[in-house]
Amino acid sequence: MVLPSHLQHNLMPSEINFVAENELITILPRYSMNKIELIGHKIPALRAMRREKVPIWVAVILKSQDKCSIVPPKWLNLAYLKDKYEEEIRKPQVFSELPWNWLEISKVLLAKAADDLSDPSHQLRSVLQDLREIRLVKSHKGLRELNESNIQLNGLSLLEINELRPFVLTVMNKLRQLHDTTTTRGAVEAGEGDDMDDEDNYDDEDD
Amino acid sequence: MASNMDIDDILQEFDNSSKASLKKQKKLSSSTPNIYDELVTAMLNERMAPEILPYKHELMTQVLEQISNQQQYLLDSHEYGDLNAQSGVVSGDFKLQLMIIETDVERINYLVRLYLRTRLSKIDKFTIHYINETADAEESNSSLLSREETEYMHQHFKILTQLYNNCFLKKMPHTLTLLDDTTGGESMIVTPDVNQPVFIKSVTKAGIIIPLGEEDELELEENGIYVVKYSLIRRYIEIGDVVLI
Amino acid sequence: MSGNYYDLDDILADGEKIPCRFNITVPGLGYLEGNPGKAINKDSKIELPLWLAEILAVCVNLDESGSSFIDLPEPEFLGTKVKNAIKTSPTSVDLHKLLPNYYRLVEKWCTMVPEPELIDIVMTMLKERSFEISNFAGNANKQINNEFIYTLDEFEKQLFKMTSESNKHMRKWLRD
Repeated sequence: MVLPSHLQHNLMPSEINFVAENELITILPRYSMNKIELIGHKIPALRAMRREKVPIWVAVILKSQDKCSIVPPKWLNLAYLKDKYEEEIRKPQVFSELPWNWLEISKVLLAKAADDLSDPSHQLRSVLQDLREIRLVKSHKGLRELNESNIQLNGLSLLEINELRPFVLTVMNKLRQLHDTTTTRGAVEAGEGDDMDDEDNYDDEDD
Repeated sequence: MASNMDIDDILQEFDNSSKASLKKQKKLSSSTPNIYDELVTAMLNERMAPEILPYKHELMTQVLEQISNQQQYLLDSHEYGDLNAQSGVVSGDFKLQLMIIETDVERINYLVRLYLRTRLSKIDKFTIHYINETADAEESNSSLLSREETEYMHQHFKILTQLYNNCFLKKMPHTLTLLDDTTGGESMIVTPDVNQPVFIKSVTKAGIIIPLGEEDELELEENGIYVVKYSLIRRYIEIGDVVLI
Repeated sequence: MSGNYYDLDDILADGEKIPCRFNITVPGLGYLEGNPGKAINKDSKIELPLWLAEILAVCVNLDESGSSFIDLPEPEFLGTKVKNAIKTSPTSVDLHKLLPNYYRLVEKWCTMVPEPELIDIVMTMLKERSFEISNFAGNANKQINNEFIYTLDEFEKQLFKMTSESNKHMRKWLRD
């Protein structure tokens, strides 16, 4: 099959991770390096100890070769994340604001640049997991509110949305199909916009 | 002697030559800040849309051209590296840079493949539907499918009907051998369900108002995330005010 | 409804038998109720697959008063008893036993015979049950009250499967 069915209309977490690796991150180079022209992105000439922004995947390569250290994003530290966790508890109805890719970015930095982070990895991991779990519980509670028409889901990150996607879309689609039977039949048919009058027959005789 | 040349001069030369080709590309893409991001958006939109979206002719031309430019650059650089391997002028930095460029090409290659495979899977699923759809819109630059995709679609259909024929259709009465019969309120043609709900993100400052039924409407705020019927927002995808996520 | 011609569940749902009552006597159709060669009499009740019942119910008999060939009495799976059971406790109804393609049948039925009240009940049930399904899918390891799982109809099973898959992928990614 061209695209396995579990990949149709859904993303694998690894694919979202891949997309997140394009986000820019600040690095502190240790050596100089000439600029590099990439497709869609230019990496400026690097000079030792002068901060630059590069895509995360480039930062990880440079880091693995000891060419730079990575400056962690301002949200990736214990104090900030604990604050967010408190906020999640304080406001049970809303999601605290976290970056669109917080799970992916924290994962890659914990794995590849743990020594550049300002707090011990195991503590960061633990608060990140707490955050993920409290948000998961919240989003699950929200699943009671599904309907046949539309919902708004602000505050969730792409990965969190993706996890809910099959459930949310399947249930809403079924509700929609059930609901459609109560609207007039004509309207439902007209909504499809199919060319039912198309006379072209793709008969197979001359094949 | 070449080996007397400073490594930086050589790199400068490579820089210049790749700049020349980049300038050319920049003209093409002056309005588009980052074709990488555009490709990611195109891939995600395509992946999440129930129907096939118009082929990104211009974007794909640019992307494919840049891939081949970078590949040529890599080829030339490796040749240069091999020639000068013994003399030790090829620095570790140079190799590292090449490795980064190589990775970049691989990454973009992967996105292109995901984009195309998603499209092919929809062509497979809705073959007859898209054969009908594209029947009178041949060879236009804004066409739904690329030339290669159109060719693939017709080939696919030919192979499929041959298979069906050999396996069972030839043993059936002629009236039962149609594959695109739409009589009796039952269409054999599988079509995409454009009323499926999808996850969207509004990316325009101007609020978008979409109608929901007779009275209701929904205003999409910038950066708001919603689930709505695909048919209600499909035109905003085309102009880029809404992205599928 | 945008059905998919090749959808197996849809074909199975179309084969589900529903009660029908003939409005006219049709000579030679007796084989439908096990009397080959005989006529099928006006007012006789037999069960026919949905696809056939639908056609006979919408086709208007031109000769007479404009009535259709058959009437469709309410099938048991949509009856008051079932409706009440659903209303009382949506999660304890054994949908699978009732009809393996329950939601689909309801959809098909209501496309022929609009019943907003029934749709309302079924939509509420779907919300309640799917919420429960999401809870189960979230705790794939714990087997609490797993009888519920056996009462799922085909759509719900599919939903359960894809929800657990999605959770699994996510857990795996987090672990790796």
